[in-house]
Amino acid sequence: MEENDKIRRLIITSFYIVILFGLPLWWKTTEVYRAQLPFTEIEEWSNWEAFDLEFPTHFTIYVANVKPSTIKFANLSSNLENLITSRYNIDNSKEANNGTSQKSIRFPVKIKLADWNNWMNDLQDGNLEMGNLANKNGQYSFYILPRTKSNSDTKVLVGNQRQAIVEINQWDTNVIEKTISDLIISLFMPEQDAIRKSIIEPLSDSKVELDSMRTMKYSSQYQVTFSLMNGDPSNLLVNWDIEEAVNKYLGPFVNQISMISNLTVDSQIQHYARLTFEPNHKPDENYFFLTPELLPHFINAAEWNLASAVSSYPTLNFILYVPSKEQSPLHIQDSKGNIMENNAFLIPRWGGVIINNPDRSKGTHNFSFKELKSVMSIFITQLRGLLGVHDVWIEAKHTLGATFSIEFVIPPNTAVTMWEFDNLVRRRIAENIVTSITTLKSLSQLVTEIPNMVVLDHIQTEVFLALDNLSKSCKHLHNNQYDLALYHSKKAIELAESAFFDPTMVSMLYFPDEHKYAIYMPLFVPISVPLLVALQREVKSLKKK
Amino acid sequence: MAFHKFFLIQFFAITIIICIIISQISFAQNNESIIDGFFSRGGHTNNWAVLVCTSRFWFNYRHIANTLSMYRTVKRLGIPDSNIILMLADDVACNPRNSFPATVFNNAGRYLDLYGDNVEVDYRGYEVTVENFIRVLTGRVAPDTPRSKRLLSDDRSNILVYMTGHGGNEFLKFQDAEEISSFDLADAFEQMWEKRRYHEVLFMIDTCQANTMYSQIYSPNILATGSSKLGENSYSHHMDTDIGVAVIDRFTYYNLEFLERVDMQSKATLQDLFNSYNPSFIHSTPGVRSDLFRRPLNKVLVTDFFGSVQNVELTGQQYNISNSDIGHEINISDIKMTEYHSKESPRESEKSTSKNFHLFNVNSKQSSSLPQFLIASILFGILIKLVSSII
Repeated sequence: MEENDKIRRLIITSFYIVILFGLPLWWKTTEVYRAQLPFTEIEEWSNWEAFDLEFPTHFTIYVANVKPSTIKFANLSSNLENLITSRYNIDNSKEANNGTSQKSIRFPVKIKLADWNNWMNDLQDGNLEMGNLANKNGQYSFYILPRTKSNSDTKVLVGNQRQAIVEINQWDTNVIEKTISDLIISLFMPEQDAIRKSIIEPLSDSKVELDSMRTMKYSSQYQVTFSLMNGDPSNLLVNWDIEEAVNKYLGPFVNQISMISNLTVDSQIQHYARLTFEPNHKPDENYFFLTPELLPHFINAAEWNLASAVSSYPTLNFILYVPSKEQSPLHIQDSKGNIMENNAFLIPRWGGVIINNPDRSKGTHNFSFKELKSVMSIFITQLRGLLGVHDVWIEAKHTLGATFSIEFVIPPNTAVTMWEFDNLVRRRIAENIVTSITTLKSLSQLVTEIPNMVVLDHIQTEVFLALDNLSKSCKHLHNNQYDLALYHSKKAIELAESAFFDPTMVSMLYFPDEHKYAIYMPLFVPISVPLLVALQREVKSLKKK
Repeated sequence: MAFHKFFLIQFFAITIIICIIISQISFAQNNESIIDGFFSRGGHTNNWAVLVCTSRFWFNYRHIANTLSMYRTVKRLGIPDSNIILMLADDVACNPRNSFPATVFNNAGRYLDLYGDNVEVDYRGYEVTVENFIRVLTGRVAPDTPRSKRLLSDDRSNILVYMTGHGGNEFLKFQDAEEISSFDLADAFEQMWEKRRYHEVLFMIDTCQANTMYSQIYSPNILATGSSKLGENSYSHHMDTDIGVAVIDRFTYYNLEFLERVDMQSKATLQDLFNSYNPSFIHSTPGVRSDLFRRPLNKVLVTDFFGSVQNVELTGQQYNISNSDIGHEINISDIKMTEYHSKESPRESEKSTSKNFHLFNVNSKQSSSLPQFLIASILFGILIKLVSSII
């Protein structure tokens, strides 16, 4: 009897031992694999504690050495710095008072003065290099000299590089100070406001802002498609020298912008591209016209084959539309009923359309390289808008008011001046940094919220790399190295996005606890009953003893 | 995933045997409270449509007809094929039982062949799975997925999500093999919102107890409508005696009846659409959930979701491109400036600093389902054997 009891107890304990060892094994093998993500670090970034975002700008002011000298040089640069910083800071403190948390975004200004001794000769010889012409983003030169004609406006001649010549109407220290600070502030304030806004309220949704609606989201690559749409080829055949036009007119722009995003360009010609509606007719002048209300329906999405399956990058469509004979000539009217000279319109985040009414007498028409110049210049205007190039000086002109007359040199063949390009670079850096941070934040939020989501090691690696690139980008910004900052911000956004959109990140199907009980109960309940009963019996018999 | 398939199979087997009824509370909300929006105009720039038919087999002809009817409608109202993800779980047009081969009709009159020459089905047959659907919504598709199978929407996209099939309380069956629950759907929408993959969503579902499907959604800017409330079936509208099966569902039929009167320039609003629902015609109670949606429904045009009305901006100015081949020297009035090229290449200076990130050392063990399954089954086998030998 004793022997039997012993064996029975041994058996029961062995069962319990198996269960005891089995439980952690079961726990371990059924758990969802999750690589450790740096949640606290991401949190710090999204609260903007981890870094200071700085967009330093340096100005070199070449002051013409006018004799007799009436300018007090000594304090000019520090005065200017103070003046500008104080005006930037007014807006900063406003935000702090409004209760929004003070994010550390700074726009430090440094001003260097230089003597411009032989300015007369330099102007005459066209020799403005001075050996140290600013050639980096964030470094600008102003050449100031007295206005030759008295009692006229302050005249600014804006170069395509990072410099401008300012002719000041009154050669006086105070006026110089005021003019230069006004100039700098109205040039950089809109950009800084936009950057500050994007950082303080990222993803401020549902705002119908034309600017944010028009500009494409950042992508490392865009696909640009030029389409020549022919309404009716039965009485007019069209062709175009698009390759040459793209190479000559668009090529420099594509090259310049490739530092930010690559553009791949392709073209197509489509025939029988009909409109879905009949344009309005003006019988007395015998032309057809489209009102702004009709334009949203212009694109015949069902029949025009504009989708490209080449890549998954965002597409920008540019359409040159040739209407059919029955609808020619076709014009676009603005809301006041005037015919638009350009005959073109832009569709935000989609592309641009130009309507062209070529000569139909020959039955064929080839848009020559020369003819395409005006077409391409409109397309480039639209492309600039879609890619977010801002006319910084024209915007500044509005705030500066009438006392300034701004003139421009011939625009560069890159279709973007360095002023505009730098502005775009800075905006894109800010946008990329903000987007990467919000993406990482969303990722960490999703991983915490959805416990069934598997997080593999390569996600972890990408997140770490993204954070690393973010901090590098901020460091380079601080050191006034915008090119490197852009490069790292691009890297950061790429890595963050690829971590977020990783195919392995699909959460498993929703599995509530009830379902889990339903699975385990039929197995464990029958097993546990004899085990528990046996245990109870043993305990009872032990108690009896 | 395999791990959960194992669960799923077990789960189904066990539910049949033991019939555990999981009571769930449904939050079918019909909150019609309208907050006056700050803007009457939609802030979207592009439209997308995800149209899903989840049912296989010939007798579910009507579900495919439902989806194709919607497809035709959104296309007619201007959403291009590239912005439509069409998922059809079966191909009834080529079914041998179809007495009108290569056609799909949604009416016994057979006025309109929905399966005309211009249909682009993106996910077909066994590709229509819960996983693929969620991948499409969340954008987490395999890198080799073609563009036509991706939902490339952004923060300015209005998305119409239309689903039809057989469903029940808080689930919709996919392909007779699996189901999507309202929680999965809500999580998918949340993941889209987190990455701002939509501006606004109209979720429309035609299935039994359809209104339960949108009850769990918690992300903003989603408007949802369904064909029937909890405990109600959704019915088909009528059948075609030659085709031999029902050709369209009631809810979709009456939606289409309204939408057929809408064209691109129409000013009809979603409020008009929802007002047109008549429970006595539909034979079930359609629901609308608008508490997550910010705009008043009588300001939301039908074409904001079913069509593609783009904002336009007239181009007044034009950029004066100088195609002169002066190269690097540009003459500025009488001043000559020489263009300097940035000598610094970001990539070159990258080299030195690229390796200083720190990685946590994590063991790369991964939970594999097969050994786990084997161990578990062996363990349980031994246990059961021992237990039975003892008893």
